Amino acid sequence: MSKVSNLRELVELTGAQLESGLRSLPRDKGAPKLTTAVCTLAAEEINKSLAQVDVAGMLAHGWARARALRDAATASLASPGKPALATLGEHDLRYTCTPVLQMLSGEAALPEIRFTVELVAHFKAAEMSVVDGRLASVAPGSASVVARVKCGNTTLAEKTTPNARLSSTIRLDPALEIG
Amino acid sequence: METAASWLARWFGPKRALQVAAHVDPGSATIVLEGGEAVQPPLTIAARIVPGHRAELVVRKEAVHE
Repeated sequence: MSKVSNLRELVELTGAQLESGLRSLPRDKGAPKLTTAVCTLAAEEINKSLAQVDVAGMLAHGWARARALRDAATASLASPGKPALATLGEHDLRYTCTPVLQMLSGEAALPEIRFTVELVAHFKAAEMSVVDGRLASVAPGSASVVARVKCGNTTLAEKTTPNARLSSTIRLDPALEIG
Repeated sequence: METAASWLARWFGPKRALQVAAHVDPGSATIVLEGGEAVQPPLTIAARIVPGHRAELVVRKEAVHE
């Protein structure tokens, strides 16, 4: 597949999935009933919000927690301005965020609907570069990704991308704090 | 164009309008008034990502150093 840059490229929601999912939620959760037309518009708005999420940037926060970086961070502090390299073996990155659907009928706010996007990306390896004690860049290769959109415990949409390509080198500006 | 809020306020007065607004039907985006008359004010839909996220790393195999 082409290079992945945002979350919408890994999972998106159709109006039918949203409508079906909201119907299946327990009634005591106060889930609103939305018409097909409203669900179609709402799903597109959720997809637009997912398109604003930078996949590489969000995954980098997970890489910055790698223990393998700590020695490299110490070494890089001894040689200011020079990169220290670290290699991370086979690993998973799990990412979660919360899209919220807001609707106004005229100026009257309707109850918000909260969703959860869960993503698991499996990498064979990643080369990381640390400068001045901070994660400056990552060369991750491709990943196998499973992404899903949930409302409560109900999965509305799920997509597997077996060979998602990220940038060959993800440069982090500003560099990320490690740990 | 008259907004739903000003419409409700005109019909019910400012205090009662707030109570009536709580009976908006999200399914049809219609406000049903006492007496059965319904109005359909413009529906605005937007989604945003709540600030803050969780990113976790699970290492399966440590790297083999050459």
